[in-house]
Amino acid sequence: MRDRLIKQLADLAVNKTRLMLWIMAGITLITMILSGGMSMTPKWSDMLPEGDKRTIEFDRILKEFQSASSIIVVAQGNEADIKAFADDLAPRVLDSLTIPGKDKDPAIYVRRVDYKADLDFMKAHGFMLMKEDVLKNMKDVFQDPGLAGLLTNMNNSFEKEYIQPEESMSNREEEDGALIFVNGINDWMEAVGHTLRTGSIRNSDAEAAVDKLLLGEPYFLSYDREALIMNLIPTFSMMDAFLIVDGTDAVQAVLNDVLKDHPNVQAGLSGAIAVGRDEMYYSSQGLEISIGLSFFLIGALLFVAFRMAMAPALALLNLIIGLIWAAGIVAVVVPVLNIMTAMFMIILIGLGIDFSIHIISTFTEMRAKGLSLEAATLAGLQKSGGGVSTGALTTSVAFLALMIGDSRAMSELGLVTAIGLLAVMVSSFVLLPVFLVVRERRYAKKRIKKGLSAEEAPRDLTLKPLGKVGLFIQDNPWSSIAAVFVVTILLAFSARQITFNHNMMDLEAEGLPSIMLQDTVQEKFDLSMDFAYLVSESVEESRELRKKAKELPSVASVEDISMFIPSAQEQAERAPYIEEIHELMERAQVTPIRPQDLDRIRMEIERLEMNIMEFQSMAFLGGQDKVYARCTEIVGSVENPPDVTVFSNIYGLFDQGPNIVTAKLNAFQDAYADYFKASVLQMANTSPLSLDVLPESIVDRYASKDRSLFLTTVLPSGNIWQDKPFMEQFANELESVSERTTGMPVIMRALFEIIGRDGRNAAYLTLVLIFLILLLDFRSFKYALIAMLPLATGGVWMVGLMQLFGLQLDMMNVMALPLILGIGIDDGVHVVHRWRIEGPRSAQVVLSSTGKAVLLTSLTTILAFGSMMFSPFRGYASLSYALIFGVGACFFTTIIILPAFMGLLDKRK
Amino acid sequence: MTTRIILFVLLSFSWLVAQAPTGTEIINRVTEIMSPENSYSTGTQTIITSSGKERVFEFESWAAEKGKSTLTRYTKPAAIRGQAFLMLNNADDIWSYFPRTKRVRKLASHAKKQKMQGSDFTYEDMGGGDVFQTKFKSTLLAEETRDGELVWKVELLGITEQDPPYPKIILWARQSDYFPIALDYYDDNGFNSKSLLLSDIQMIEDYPTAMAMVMTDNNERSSTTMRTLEVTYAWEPPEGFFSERNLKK
Repeated sequence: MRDRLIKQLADLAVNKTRLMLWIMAGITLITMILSGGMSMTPKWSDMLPEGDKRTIEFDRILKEFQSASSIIVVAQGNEADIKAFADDLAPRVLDSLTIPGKDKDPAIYVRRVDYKADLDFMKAHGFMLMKEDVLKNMKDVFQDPGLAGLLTNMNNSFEKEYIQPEESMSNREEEDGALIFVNGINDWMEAVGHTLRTGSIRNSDAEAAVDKLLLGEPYFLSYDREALIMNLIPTFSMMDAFLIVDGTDAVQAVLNDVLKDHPNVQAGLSGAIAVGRDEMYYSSQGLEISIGLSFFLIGALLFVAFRMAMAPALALLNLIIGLIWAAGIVAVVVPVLNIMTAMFMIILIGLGIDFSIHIISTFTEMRAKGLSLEAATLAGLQKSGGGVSTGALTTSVAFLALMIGDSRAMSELGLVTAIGLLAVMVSSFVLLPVFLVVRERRYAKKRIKKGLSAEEAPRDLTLKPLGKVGLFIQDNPWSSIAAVFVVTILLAFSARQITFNHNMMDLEAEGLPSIMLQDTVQEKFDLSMDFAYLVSESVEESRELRKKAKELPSVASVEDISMFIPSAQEQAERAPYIEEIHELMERAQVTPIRPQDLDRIRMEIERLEMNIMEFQSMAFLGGQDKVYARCTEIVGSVENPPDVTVFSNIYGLFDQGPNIVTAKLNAFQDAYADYFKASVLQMANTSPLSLDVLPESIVDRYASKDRSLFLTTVLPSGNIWQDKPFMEQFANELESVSERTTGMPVIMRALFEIIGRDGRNAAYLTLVLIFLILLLDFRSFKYALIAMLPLATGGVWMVGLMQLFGLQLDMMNVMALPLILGIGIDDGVHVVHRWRIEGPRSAQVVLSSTGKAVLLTSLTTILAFGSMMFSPFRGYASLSYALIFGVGACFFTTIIILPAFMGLLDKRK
Repeated sequence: MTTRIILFVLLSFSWLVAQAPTGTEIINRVTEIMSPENSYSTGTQTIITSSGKERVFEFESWAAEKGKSTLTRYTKPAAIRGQAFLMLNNADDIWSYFPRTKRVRKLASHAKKQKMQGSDFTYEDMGGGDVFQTKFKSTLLAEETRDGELVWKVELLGITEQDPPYPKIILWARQSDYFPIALDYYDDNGFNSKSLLLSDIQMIEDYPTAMAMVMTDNNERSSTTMRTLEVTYAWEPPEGFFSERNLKK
């Protein structure tokens, strides 16, 4: 049947050339239109099985919660500069924005900007949000707003807090709390120092110092106060693939514009959307570079190999048309490509060009031998057609075997590549002979015009050296087999030692701005952006989840709506303390400072300094680096006693004379005391906190659009990428809290498991299917087995060589293992086919002719995959290295093992 | 017949001799050898800070009344040189002295259950005395080999009324000298939350002494190493040594 089909195709190519060209042009036009519907998604979750609960939950979160898709602005510089930059940028990004370089109407891309705590809400309900024991400890601070009384009460409270040091500083949240306390005191003392120096203080500065003392820093500043985070909530979500790029680019343009007014600030975008945009941009850019480069390199190789310009041009033209057909069909079957499936084009280039090479190779060989156009077309298709069709079939089956996996990463890649491969094979059988016929006729016309014979003189286009290698191995089969055996054993040992790199960040583009900023955030804010999410249907459920998650060892902190809505019982327990604070503050009278109060004030300031020194000392022993560092900035350290601190400044200013100091301190007290009293009275509000009372900015952060669902965000305490056991611990612990846990750590853990399992299963199935196809094709168990031997050996060599060259397996290159089964088998298939056609002891002929084609196809595949080495997306480069080793290994095992078997088996005959 | 009776008596005697001690007996012996009356030692303590750096402290430590009273004074690094902790009544009362401010402060009573100076040990872990005897009920679980040594595996279940530091501990003590070489601490959920390994055991002045102790927190996946550099049990505490006044010296 195959022979009949091949004859018909050869006949059509020679006798119905024009008709065939028109039909192919029509098909190409239709598929080109269809291919326009193809798009790409940057979400790793889209590689999980379609019905996976983690993916469904993740998509639901992205759809329902505005805050789950955010653009993070990270600004760096000194504190005042970055705050000014943030204040400038915030209103600008909320305007209608234009996309640079695109002719689109301005649109609103950012719904809300969160970069400061909601001070109004905190002032209205601040005490109700404090824990009962904190209120109990701190209530005495709020009984006297006067400077002397306030300092005394702060010290009393500090010492009370101090005697529970381990409780206060036992985890990250508590360490953060300690820092807020210390920072508030520092800013307060700086305000005192400023007034003592200048004699006055602006009310706004005094009020800001009060706010920091009572409520902490409103801006989202890093621990070293040199970086600031802004959270931009976009009008689109991670689900909108096109808006991710447009929206991020529009925001980036505004950011660049604002930066011009703040030359001392550096800022960039990060967060899920910016990373998604960068991944799409760089992976697309990487693919474009790879496709262009592979076309160029393959063209150059073919030009050298065939010693004529038209052969590579025709091969590439056929390939391009095959790819258009493939893209059109794929766009219908899998319209949205993920990061993995997006590279199917590169695979098709690497493998699809092989079909053209085999057909052109045999066709030109036949023509060079002097066969007529019709006879050469037929002979070319007949001699290469078996190998091409079986090779295409085995490779396609190998890819289709990936579909047994659950993960979309593998199953979709398998499907689209198999479809694409068959499309390119069809174009190679149908279209390429037509091109060759057209080319030969035009060439003949030119020769006739020049007065030459229409037919070229016979030439030998075979690769003689490879033939000689084949002959040598055929004559020395045992030594060749022994050499292969030894190398295989050694490389098998090496292969066993290969390790798996779970760090997905190593697969991203190096220097990716958004990823680098993630590292900055991790370093400066000690904050991982790889959250896990839990969803609940009520505030109470959310509170329970938060409580459980907080107890998990792998959890650094948990954020949810219940942080702003204490339980009814908690509110009832806090109310008496709040009422007491209210009562104390209402009764409090601020009396002017007298000169005789100065000693007490100075003594209390010294006591405060000592409290901070002791706090610092405990922080050093407790390994609380951030608290220790901040305290050291404020009071210096034993090893490096500072020349000047905020406290030593104040002590020096006390020497101005009692009347002057008294007047200045009264100026300070007058500036802040009434505001302090009013603020405390406002905060001492026992009205119940509920969802209805919370401001939109807080509710939007944690509740779904219709307020029926609530989002709990869980931050890991370690680096999930560099520590796989930790990633597993984090995911497992969270799954023990809620089965609906999702987010990057959970998704990636699942992806590792599923892809590992799918890859293994697909590899087993591929081996079985390939063997069955070979059995059907060769109708011989012996030849099927021999054709598979180079592949089996090549697979071992591939992994062994990867390990020897210091490569690790990773999420991307692990795909090369099942892929190489489909790709590597072709070499053996072609050589065995030709061997059976040429007869016994034909190693020299087979290798010089088919061996040359196999070498060329291996080189083109290596060039195609090798072009991915230059992709900025390191995942593609990693896959590229693995496939280069695999294809190279399979070529060498083919040209060494098969001639040896030819020698052994044919000798017996 | 006479021979049979003698043989029976001998066999019974040998059976009695070979019979393993009870869990309580083992723990009594463990407590005895682990609680020399007084001691003086120097050592190092290595912790991992919140930003992942390793920090090593050097200290001097004095203990009396079988570990009921201890005083620890840090000698290195300079940031905490002179800082001292006094623990009385098996860490029920803890004071700390700060040389930079020259002040002594009392820690809250519940501090004993909390981590000591950023380490994986709690103040209570470091308190000696008869805690195993008074706050736990001990049962011998098995005789087995651990790290090439014959050991007794003993389960200590906390007596709720006695406010035990842990609900359950599994302890492995060497059969040769009753010295414990490993302890697993369990939390309320039955999870093996911490593990202590004692190694480099040397006989010092008739007391087997672990020169290295590694406490691993299985939850936090962190560990703290305490290494003894020098130790003597011949030290006698002067009058008033374990006092707030002496803490300042």
